[in-house]
Amino acid sequence: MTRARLASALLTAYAAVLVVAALPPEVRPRWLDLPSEAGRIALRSLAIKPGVAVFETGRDDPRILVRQDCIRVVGRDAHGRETVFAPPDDRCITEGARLVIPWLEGGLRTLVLRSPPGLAEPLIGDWFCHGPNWAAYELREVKLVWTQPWVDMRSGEEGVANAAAFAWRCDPPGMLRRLIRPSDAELRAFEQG
Amino acid sequence: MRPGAALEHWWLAPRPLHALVGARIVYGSVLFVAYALRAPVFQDLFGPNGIGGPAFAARVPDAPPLHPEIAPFLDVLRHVPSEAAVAALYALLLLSSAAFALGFATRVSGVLAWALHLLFWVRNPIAFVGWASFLPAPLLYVVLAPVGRHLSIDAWWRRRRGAPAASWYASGWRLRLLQIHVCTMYAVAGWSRLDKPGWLQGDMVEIALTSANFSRVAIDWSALAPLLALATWGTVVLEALAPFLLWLPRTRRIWAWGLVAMHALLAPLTHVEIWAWSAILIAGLLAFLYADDAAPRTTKG
Repeated sequence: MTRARLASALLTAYAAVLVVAALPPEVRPRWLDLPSEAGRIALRSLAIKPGVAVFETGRDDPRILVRQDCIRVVGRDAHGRETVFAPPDDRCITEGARLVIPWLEGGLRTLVLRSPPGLAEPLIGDWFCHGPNWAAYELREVKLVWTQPWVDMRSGEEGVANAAAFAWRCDPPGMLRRLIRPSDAELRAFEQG
Repeated sequence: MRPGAALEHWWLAPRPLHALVGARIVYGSVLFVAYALRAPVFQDLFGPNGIGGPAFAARVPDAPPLHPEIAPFLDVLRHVPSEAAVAALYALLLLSSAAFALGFATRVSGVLAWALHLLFWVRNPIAFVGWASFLPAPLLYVVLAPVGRHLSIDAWWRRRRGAPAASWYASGWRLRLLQIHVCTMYAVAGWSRLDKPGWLQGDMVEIALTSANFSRVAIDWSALAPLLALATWGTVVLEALAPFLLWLPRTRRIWAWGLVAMHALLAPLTHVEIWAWSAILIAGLLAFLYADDAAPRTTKG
Protein backbone atom coordinates (compact mmCIF):
# COMPACT_ATOMS: atom_id res chain seq x y z
CA MET A 1 0.00 0.00 0.00
CA THR A 2 1.39 3.39 -0.95
CA ARG A 3 1.73 6.18 1.61
CA ALA A 4 -0.98 8.19 -0.14
CA ARG A 5 -3.39 5.27 -0.10
CA LEU A 6 -2.71 4.58 3.59
CA ALA A 7 -3.18 8.25 4.48
CA SER A 8 -6.39 8.39 2.50
CA ALA A 9 -7.70 5.23 4.20
CA LEU A 10 -6.88 6.54 7.70
CA LEU A 11 -8.48 9.91 6.98
CA THR A 12 -11.60 8.23 5.62
CA ALA A 13 -11.85 6.01 8.71
CA TYR A 14 -11.52 9.00 11.05
CA ALA A 15 -14.09 10.99 9.07
CA ALA A 16 -16.50 8.04 9.17
CA VAL A 17 -16.22 7.79 12.97
CA LEU A 18 -16.75 11.56 13.24
CA VAL A 19 -19.85 11.50 11.03
CA VAL A 20 -21.42 8.46 12.69
CA ALA A 21 -20.76 9.93 16.16
CA ALA A 22 -22.41 13.18 15.08
CA LEU A 23 -25.76 11.56 14.31
CA PRO A 24 -28.09 12.58 17.15
CA PRO A 25 -30.49 9.94 18.50
CA GLU A 26 -33.43 12.01 17.18
CA VAL A 27 -32.61 11.18 13.56
CA ARG A 28 -30.37 8.14 13.37
CA PRO A 29 -31.66 4.65 12.54
CA ARG A 30 -31.58 2.25 15.50
CA TRP A 31 -28.97 0.00 13.90
CA LEU A 32 -26.55 2.91 14.13
CA ASP A 33 -27.11 3.46 17.88
CA LEU A 34 -24.23 1.24 18.95
CA PRO A 35 -21.58 2.46 16.46
CA SER A 36 -22.64 6.05 17.03
CA GLU A 37 -22.35 5.81 20.82
CA ALA A 38 -19.07 3.88 20.55
CA GLY A 39 -17.66 6.54 18.21
CA ARG A 40 -18.83 9.34 20.48
CA ILE A 41 -17.22 7.72 23.54
CA ALA A 42 -13.96 7.03 21.69
CA LEU A 43 -13.71 10.58 20.35
CA ARG A 44 -14.78 12.11 23.65
CA SER A 45 -12.03 10.25 25.51
CA LEU A 46 -9.58 12.11 23.27
CA ALA A 47 -11.38 15.43 23.79
CA ILE A 48 -12.79 15.47 20.25
CA LYS A 49 -16.40 16.59 19.92
CA PRO A 50 -18.22 16.25 16.58
CA GLY A 51 -20.41 19.18 17.60
CA VAL A 52 -22.32 20.92 20.36
CA ALA A 53 -25.98 21.92 20.43
CA VAL A 54 -26.37 25.35 22.01
CA PHE A 55 -29.65 26.98 23.09
CA GLU A 56 -31.27 23.66 23.83
CA THR A 57 -34.43 23.62 25.87
CA GLY A 58 -35.60 20.67 27.89
CA ARG A 59 -38.89 22.28 28.90
CA ASP A 60 -42.17 20.72 27.81
CA ASP A 61 -43.76 24.14 27.43
CA PRO A 62 -41.41 26.56 25.72
CA ARG A 63 -43.73 29.52 26.39
CA ILE A 64 -42.83 29.39 30.11
CA LEU A 65 -39.73 31.56 30.14
CA VAL A 66 -37.19 31.37 32.95
CA ARG A 67 -36.02 34.97 33.12
CA GLN A 68 -32.87 34.17 35.06
CA ASP A 69 -31.28 31.48 37.23
CA CYS A 70 -30.84 33.52 40.41
CA ILE A 71 -28.14 32.01 42.61
CA ARG A 72 -27.63 33.50 46.06
CA VAL A 73 -24.59 32.47 48.09
CA VAL A 74 -24.15 33.40 51.75
CA GLY A 75 -21.10 32.49 53.85
CA ARG A 76 -20.96 32.33 57.64
CA ASP A 77 -17.72 32.57 59.65
CA ALA A 78 -16.81 31.20 63.08
CA HIS A 79 -18.37 34.23 64.80
CA GLY A 80 -21.68 33.80 63.01
CA ARG A 81 -21.07 36.81 60.75
CA GLU A 82 -22.78 36.40 57.39
CA THR A 83 -21.54 37.73 54.05
CA VAL A 84 -23.60 37.72 50.84
CA PHE A 85 -21.18 36.80 48.04
CA ALA A 86 -23.68 36.56 45.22
CA PRO A 87 -25.51 38.12 43.54
CA PRO A 88 -23.73 41.51 43.68
CA ASP A 89 -25.69 43.96 45.86
CA ASP A 90 -27.90 40.97 46.74
CA ARG A 91 -30.00 41.74 43.64
CA CYS A 92 -30.78 39.26 40.88
CA ILE A 93 -31.08 41.01 37.55
CA THR A 94 -33.84 39.51 35.42
CA GLU A 95 -34.09 41.97 32.55
CA GLY A 96 -32.53 44.99 30.88
CA ALA A 97 -29.36 45.53 28.88
CA ARG A 98 -26.02 44.17 30.07
CA LEU A 99 -22.91 44.05 27.95
CA VAL A 100 -21.18 41.42 30.07
CA ILE A 101 -22.10 39.11 32.89
CA PRO A 102 -19.97 39.36 36.07
CA TRP A 103 -17.66 36.37 36.43
CA LEU A 104 -19.18 35.17 39.66
CA GLU A 105 -22.73 35.21 38.30
CA GLY A 106 -21.79 33.37 35.11
CA GLY A 107 -19.49 30.95 36.93
CA LEU A 108 -22.10 30.02 39.53
CA ARG A 109 -24.77 29.53 36.89
CA THR A 110 -22.47 27.30 34.87
CA LEU A 111 -21.55 25.27 37.95
CA VAL A 112 -25.19 24.81 38.91
CA LEU A 113 -26.53 24.06 35.44
CA ARG A 114 -23.67 22.12 33.86
CA SER A 115 -21.87 20.17 36.59
CA PRO A 116 -22.22 16.40 36.45
CA PRO A 117 -24.86 15.16 38.93
CA GLY A 118 -23.82 15.43 42.58
CA LEU A 119 -20.79 17.60 41.86
CA ALA A 120 -22.15 21.17 41.90
CA GLU A 121 -22.64 21.27 45.68
CA PRO A 122 -19.13 20.16 46.71
CA LEU A 123 -17.51 22.24 43.95
CA ILE A 124 -19.32 25.43 44.96
CA GLY A 125 -19.12 24.78 48.70
CA ASP A 126 -15.40 24.03 48.62
CA TRP A 127 -14.69 26.95 46.26
CA PHE A 128 -16.20 29.50 48.67
CA CYS A 129 -14.64 27.80 51.71
CA HIS A 130 -11.10 27.62 50.32
CA GLY A 131 -10.90 29.37 46.92
CA PRO A 132 -8.26 32.10 46.38
CA ASN A 133 -10.84 34.90 46.35
CA TRP A 134 -12.63 33.92 49.55
CA ALA A 135 -9.95 32.40 51.81
CA ALA A 136 -9.64 35.62 53.87
CA TYR A 137 -13.24 35.26 55.10
CA GLU A 138 -12.34 32.01 56.96
CA LEU A 139 -15.83 30.65 56.46
CA ARG A 140 -17.34 27.83 58.46
CA GLU A 141 -20.40 27.29 56.29
CA VAL A 142 -21.76 28.20 52.87
CA LYS A 143 -25.42 28.32 51.85
CA LEU A 144 -26.72 28.49 48.30
CA VAL A 145 -30.29 29.17 47.18
CA TRP A 146 -31.28 28.82 43.53
CA THR A 147 -34.54 30.39 42.38
CA GLN A 148 -36.02 30.93 38.92
CA PRO A 149 -38.25 33.94 38.23
CA TRP A 150 -40.54 32.93 35.36
CA VAL A 151 -43.14 34.42 33.08
CA ASP A 152 -45.81 32.76 30.98
CA MET A 153 -45.30 34.42 27.61
CA ARG A 154 -48.96 33.82 26.59
CA SER A 155 -50.76 35.20 29.64
CA GLY A 156 -48.10 37.46 31.16
CA GLU A 157 -48.49 35.66 34.50
CA GLU A 158 -45.29 35.79 36.58
CA GLY A 159 -43.88 33.84 39.54
CA VAL A 160 -40.74 32.52 41.19
CA ALA A 161 -39.90 28.81 41.25
CA ASN A 162 -37.68 27.43 44.02
CA ALA A 163 -35.21 25.19 42.21
CA ALA A 164 -32.82 23.99 44.93
CA ALA A 165 -30.81 24.94 48.03
CA PHE A 166 -27.97 23.46 50.03
CA ALA A 167 -25.73 24.16 53.02
CA TRP A 168 -22.06 23.08 52.96
CA ARG A 169 -19.76 22.78 55.98
CA CYS A 170 -16.20 23.94 55.29
CA ASP A 171 -14.16 21.90 57.71
CA PRO A 172 -14.37 18.94 57.69
CA PRO A 173 -16.07 19.36 54.35
CA GLY A 174 -19.50 17.94 53.85
CA MET A 175 -23.12 18.49 52.97
CA LEU A 176 -25.26 19.69 55.85
CA ARG A 177 -28.59 19.92 54.05
CA ARG A 178 -29.94 19.73 50.51
CA LEU A 179 -33.39 20.74 49.28
CA ILE A 180 -34.72 20.05 45.79
CA ARG A 181 -37.74 22.13 44.68
CA PRO A 182 -38.54 23.26 48.25
CA SER A 183 -41.78 25.01 49.18
CA ASP A 184 -41.63 28.71 50.10
CA ALA A 185 -41.96 27.79 53.79
CA GLU A 186 -39.16 25.22 53.60
CA LEU A 187 -36.92 27.73 51.86
CA ARG A 188 -37.62 30.46 54.45
CA ALA A 189 -36.82 28.02 57.27
CA PHE A 190 -33.61 26.98 55.48
CA GLU A 191 -32.47 30.59 55.00
CA GLN A 192 -33.18 31.49 58.63
CA GLY A 193 -31.66 28.31 60.07
CA MET B 1 -10.61 7.18 -12.26
CA ARG B 2 -10.84 4.14 -9.91
CA PRO B 3 -12.65 4.80 -6.59
CA GLY B 4 -9.47 4.52 -4.47
CA ALA B 5 -7.67 7.04 -6.64
CA ALA B 6 -10.66 9.37 -6.57
CA LEU B 7 -10.68 9.21 -2.77
CA GLU B 8 -6.94 9.90 -2.63
CA HIS B 9 -7.43 12.85 -4.92
CA TRP B 10 -10.34 14.17 -2.82
CA TRP B 11 -8.23 14.08 0.35
CA LEU B 12 -4.74 14.85 -0.88
CA ALA B 13 -4.92 17.04 -3.99
CA PRO B 14 -3.64 20.60 -3.49
CA ARG B 15 -6.24 23.04 -2.15
CA PRO B 16 -5.99 26.74 -1.37
CA LEU B 17 -4.70 27.73 2.05
CA HIS B 18 -6.74 30.94 2.37
CA ALA B 19 -9.39 29.44 4.66
CA LEU B 20 -6.86 27.75 6.93
CA VAL B 21 -4.76 30.92 7.20
CA GLY B 22 -7.93 32.83 8.11
CA ALA B 23 -8.83 30.15 10.66
CA ARG B 24 -5.33 30.43 12.16
CA ILE B 25 -5.82 34.14 12.78
CA VAL B 26 -9.33 33.67 14.20
CA TYR B 27 -8.60 30.63 16.39
CA GLY B 28 -5.44 32.18 17.83
CA SER B 29 -7.26 35.44 18.53
CA VAL B 30 -10.26 33.70 20.13
CA LEU B 31 -7.97 31.72 22.43
CA PHE B 32 -5.97 34.81 23.38
CA VAL B 33 -9.02 36.97 24.12
CA ALA B 34 -10.99 34.24 25.89
CA TYR B 35 -8.09 33.35 28.19
CA ALA B 36 -7.08 37.00 28.73
CA LEU B 37 -10.65 37.72 29.90
CA ARG B 38 -10.16 35.02 32.53
CA ALA B 39 -7.01 36.66 33.92
CA PRO B 40 -8.64 38.09 37.08
CA VAL B 41 -9.96 34.66 38.07
CA PHE B 42 -7.60 32.17 36.43
CA GLN B 43 -6.39 30.75 39.77
CA ASP B 44 -10.04 30.31 40.82
CA LEU B 45 -10.73 28.46 37.58
CA PHE B 46 -7.53 26.47 37.09
CA GLY B 47 -5.32 26.80 40.21
CA PRO B 48 -4.70 24.12 42.84
CA ASN B 49 -7.11 25.80 45.25
CA GLY B 50 -9.56 26.69 42.51
CA ILE B 51 -12.73 24.92 41.43
CA GLY B 52 -12.17 21.16 41.45
CA GLY B 53 -8.37 21.39 41.82
CA PRO B 54 -6.01 19.00 43.63
CA ALA B 55 -6.78 20.60 47.02
CA PHE B 56 -10.48 19.96 46.39
CA ALA B 57 -9.74 16.35 45.44
CA ALA B 58 -7.83 15.89 48.70
CA ARG B 59 -10.59 17.46 50.83
CA VAL B 60 -13.53 15.79 49.04
CA PRO B 61 -12.09 12.50 47.78
CA ASP B 62 -15.49 10.92 47.11
CA ALA B 63 -16.70 13.70 44.77
CA PRO B 64 -17.78 12.48 41.31
CA PRO B 65 -15.32 13.16 38.46
CA LEU B 66 -15.68 16.45 36.59
CA HIS B 67 -15.72 14.78 33.17
CA PRO B 68 -15.82 10.99 33.42
CA GLU B 69 -15.48 10.44 29.67
CA ILE B 70 -12.11 12.12 29.11
CA ALA B 71 -9.01 9.89 29.12
CA PRO B 72 -7.13 10.37 32.44
CA PHE B 73 -3.80 11.08 30.70
CA LEU B 74 -5.25 14.37 29.43
CA ASP B 75 -6.15 15.46 32.95
CA VAL B 76 -2.62 16.31 34.10
CA LEU B 77 -3.27 19.93 35.15
CA ARG B 78 -5.62 18.77 37.89
CA HIS B 79 -2.61 17.23 39.64
CA VAL B 80 -0.38 20.32 39.53
CA PRO B 81 -0.11 21.53 43.15
CA SER B 82 1.78 24.76 42.44
CA GLU B 83 0.06 28.10 41.74
CA ALA B 84 3.28 29.36 40.14
CA ALA B 85 3.36 26.44 37.68
CA VAL B 86 -0.29 27.04 36.70
CA ALA B 87 0.46 30.76 36.27
CA ALA B 88 3.47 29.97 34.07
CA LEU B 89 1.44 27.62 31.85
CA TYR B 90 -1.37 30.16 31.66
CA ALA B 91 1.11 32.87 30.55
CA LEU B 92 2.58 30.46 27.98
CA LEU B 93 -0.91 29.79 26.61
CA LEU B 94 -1.55 33.53 26.22
CA LEU B 95 1.80 34.03 24.49
CA SER B 96 1.49 31.03 22.19
CA SER B 97 -2.09 31.83 21.12
CA ALA B 98 -1.10 35.44 20.33
CA ALA B 99 1.97 34.20 18.43
CA PHE B 100 -0.17 31.71 16.48
CA ALA B 101 -2.66 34.43 15.50
CA LEU B 102 0.21 36.65 14.35
CA GLY B 103 2.02 33.79 12.63
CA PHE B 104 5.20 33.96 14.69
CA ALA B 105 7.04 30.62 14.95
CA THR B 106 3.69 29.41 13.67
CA ARG B 107 4.04 25.63 13.92
CA VAL B 108 5.57 25.67 17.42
CA SER B 109 3.19 28.32 18.76
CA GLY B 110 0.23 26.49 17.23
CA VAL B 111 1.15 23.17 18.81
CA LEU B 112 1.68 24.88 22.18
CA ALA B 113 -1.62 26.80 21.99
CA TRP B 114 -3.51 23.61 21.03
CA ALA B 115 -1.91 21.44 23.73
CA LEU B 116 -2.27 24.05 26.49
CA HIS B 117 -5.88 24.86 25.61
CA LEU B 118 -6.63 21.15 25.70
CA LEU B 119 -5.05 20.82 29.16
CA PHE B 120 -6.79 23.91 30.57
CA TRP B 121 -10.15 22.89 29.13
CA VAL B 122 -9.83 19.37 30.55
CA ARG B 123 -8.74 20.84 33.92
CA ASN B 124 -12.00 22.75 34.21
CA PRO B 125 -14.58 22.34 31.43
CA ILE B 126 -17.04 24.31 33.53
CA ALA B 127 -14.89 27.42 33.08
CA PHE B 128 -16.12 27.63 29.47
CA VAL B 129 -19.23 27.26 27.38
CA GLY B 130 -19.34 24.85 24.46
CA TRP B 131 -16.85 26.54 22.12
CA ALA B 132 -13.87 25.38 24.17
CA SER B 133 -14.86 21.73 23.88
CA PHE B 134 -15.41 21.99 20.13
CA LEU B 135 -12.24 23.88 19.25
CA PRO B 136 -9.44 21.30 19.90
CA ALA B 137 -10.02 19.19 16.77
CA PRO B 138 -10.52 22.06 14.25
CA LEU B 139 -7.57 23.87 15.83
CA LEU B 140 -5.42 20.77 15.37
CA TYR B 141 -6.31 20.56 11.66
CA VAL B 142 -5.22 24.18 11.25
CA VAL B 143 -2.02 23.69 13.27
CA LEU B 144 -1.08 20.73 11.04
CA ALA B 145 -1.35 22.87 7.88
CA PRO B 146 1.40 25.21 6.62
CA VAL B 147 -0.58 28.24 7.81
CA GLY B 148 2.48 30.33 8.63
CA ARG B 149 3.25 30.77 4.92
CA HIS B 150 1.03 33.84 4.54
CA LEU B 151 -0.28 36.82 6.49
CA SER B 152 2.26 36.07 9.19
CA ILE B 153 5.40 37.39 10.84
CA ASP B 154 7.13 34.24 9.60
CA ALA B 155 6.25 35.15 5.98
CA TRP B 156 7.35 38.74 6.48
CA TRP B 157 10.68 37.51 7.92
CA ARG B 158 11.20 35.13 4.97
CA ARG B 159 10.56 37.94 2.50
CA ARG B 160 13.07 40.18 4.31
CA ARG B 161 15.69 37.48 3.88
CA GLY B 162 14.93 37.32 0.16
CA ALA B 163 13.26 33.91 0.14
CA PRO B 164 10.80 33.29 -2.74
CA ALA B 165 7.08 33.66 -2.03
CA ALA B 166 5.51 30.44 -0.78
CA SER B 167 2.61 28.74 -2.57
CA TRP B 168 -0.98 29.45 -1.51
CA TYR B 169 -1.73 25.76 -2.13
CA ALA B 170 -1.05 22.65 -0.06
CA SER B 171 -2.32 19.10 0.22
CA GLY B 172 -6.01 19.43 1.01
CA TRP B 173 -6.56 16.89 3.77
CA ARG B 174 -6.55 19.47 6.59
CA LEU B 175 -9.08 21.62 4.73
CA ARG B 176 -11.23 18.51 4.12
CA LEU B 177 -11.12 17.60 7.82
CA LEU B 178 -12.18 21.13 8.75
CA GLN B 179 -15.03 20.99 6.22
CA ILE B 180 -16.24 17.65 7.57
CA HIS B 181 -16.02 18.84 11.18
CA VAL B 182 -18.01 21.98 10.38
CA CYS B 183 -20.69 19.74 8.88
CA THR B 184 -20.79 17.38 11.87
CA MET B 185 -21.15 20.48 14.06
CA TYR B 186 -24.27 21.53 12.17
CA ALA B 187 -25.56 17.95 12.15
CA VAL B 188 -25.32 17.78 15.95
CA ALA B 189 -26.85 21.22 16.44
CA GLY B 190 -29.40 21.29 13.63
CA TRP B 191 -30.70 17.73 13.66
CA SER B 192 -31.06 17.59 17.44
CA ARG B 193 -33.46 20.55 17.21
CA LEU B 194 -35.89 18.64 14.99
CA ASP B 195 -37.93 17.31 17.92
CA LYS B 196 -37.62 20.32 20.28
CA PRO B 197 -40.90 22.21 20.74
CA GLY B 198 -39.11 25.52 21.33
CA TRP B 199 -37.51 25.35 17.90
CA LEU B 200 -40.40 23.78 15.97
CA GLN B 201 -42.96 26.25 17.32
CA GLY B 202 -40.69 29.17 16.44
CA ASP B 203 -40.17 30.34 20.03
CA MET B 204 -36.50 29.69 20.74
CA VAL B 205 -34.92 32.92 19.48
CA GLU B 206 -37.46 35.02 21.41
CA ILE B 207 -36.87 32.87 24.52
CA ALA B 208 -33.09 33.28 24.25
CA LEU B 209 -33.36 37.04 23.70
CA THR B 210 -35.83 37.62 26.51
CA SER B 211 -33.94 35.60 29.13
CA ALA B 212 -31.29 37.37 31.20
CA ASN B 213 -29.40 34.06 31.18
CA PHE B 214 -28.48 34.53 27.52
CA SER B 215 -29.34 37.95 26.23
CA ARG B 216 -27.43 41.21 26.32
CA VAL B 217 -30.75 43.00 25.90
CA ALA B 218 -33.24 40.99 27.95
CA ILE B 219 -36.40 42.97 27.27
CA ASP B 220 -39.87 42.09 26.06
CA TRP B 221 -39.35 41.25 22.39
CA SER B 222 -42.95 40.14 21.82
CA ALA B 223 -43.64 42.99 19.37
CA LEU B 224 -41.12 41.33 17.06
CA ALA B 225 -42.42 37.81 17.71
CA PRO B 226 -43.31 37.00 14.07
CA LEU B 227 -39.87 38.09 12.92
CA LEU B 228 -38.18 36.11 15.70
CA ALA B 229 -40.25 33.05 14.81
CA LEU B 230 -38.96 33.35 11.25
CA ALA B 231 -35.42 33.65 12.64
CA THR B 232 -35.98 30.48 14.70
CA TRP B 233 -37.23 28.45 11.75
CA GLY B 234 -34.55 29.95 9.53
CA THR B 235 -31.89 28.80 11.99
CA VAL B 236 -33.29 25.25 12.03
CA VAL B 237 -33.40 25.10 8.23
CA LEU B 238 -29.93 26.62 7.80
CA GLU B 239 -28.29 24.31 10.34
CA ALA B 240 -30.18 21.12 9.53
CA LEU B 241 -29.50 21.33 5.79
CA ALA B 242 -25.94 22.63 6.08
CA PRO B 243 -24.31 19.14 6.15
CA PHE B 244 -25.77 18.53 2.68
CA LEU B 245 -26.00 21.89 0.96
CA LEU B 246 -22.50 23.07 1.90
CA TRP B 247 -21.13 20.32 -0.36
CA LEU B 248 -23.13 21.17 -3.45
CA PRO B 249 -21.35 23.70 -5.69
CA ARG B 250 -24.64 25.44 -6.53
CA THR B 251 -25.73 26.01 -2.93
CA ARG B 252 -22.37 26.11 -1.12
CA ARG B 253 -21.76 29.84 -1.15
CA ILE B 254 -25.30 30.98 -0.45
CA TRP B 255 -25.63 28.51 2.43
CA ALA B 256 -22.25 29.40 3.90
CA TRP B 257 -23.04 33.11 3.74
CA GLY B 258 -26.44 32.46 5.33
CA LEU B 259 -24.74 30.69 8.23
CA VAL B 260 -22.13 33.45 8.51
CA ALA B 261 -24.94 36.03 8.73
CA MET B 262 -26.73 33.98 11.39
CA HIS B 263 -23.60 33.72 13.56
CA ALA B 264 -22.70 37.37 13.03
CA LEU B 265 -26.19 38.46 14.17
CA LEU B 266 -26.16 36.18 17.18
CA ALA B 267 -22.81 37.31 18.60
CA PRO B 268 -23.68 40.90 19.59
CA LEU B 269 -27.07 39.95 21.05
CA THR B 270 -25.94 37.27 23.48
CA HIS B 271 -23.36 37.32 26.25
CA VAL B 272 -22.58 33.66 26.98
CA GLU B 273 -19.37 33.76 24.90
CA ILE B 274 -21.36 33.25 21.75
CA TRP B 275 -18.88 35.66 20.17
CA ALA B 276 -16.28 32.89 20.46
CA TRP B 277 -18.68 30.32 19.01
CA SER B 278 -19.59 32.63 16.17
CA ALA B 279 -15.97 33.45 15.35
CA ILE B 280 -14.92 29.78 15.40
CA LEU B 281 -17.79 28.68 13.16
CA ILE B 282 -17.44 31.60 10.75
CA ALA B 283 -13.74 30.71 10.44
CA GLY B 284 -14.76 27.10 9.80
CA LEU B 285 -17.18 28.20 7.09
CA LEU B 286 -14.27 29.85 5.28
CA ALA B 287 -13.32 26.27 4.41
CA PHE B 288 -16.37 26.23 2.11
CA LEU B 289 -16.11 29.81 0.91
CA TYR B 290 -12.44 29.42 -0.09
CA ALA B 291 -12.35 25.81 -1.25
CA ASP B 292 -11.65 26.47 -4.91
CA ASP B 293 -11.27 23.03 -6.45
CA ALA B 294 -9.20 24.29 -9.41
CA ALA B 295 -5.75 23.98 -7.89
CA PRO B 296 -2.56 24.35 -9.91
CA ARG B 297 -0.78 21.05 -10.57
CA THR B 298 2.68 22.36 -9.84
CA THR B 299 2.28 23.22 -6.17
CA LYS B 300 3.97 21.47 -3.30
CA GLY B 301 1.99 20.00 -0.37
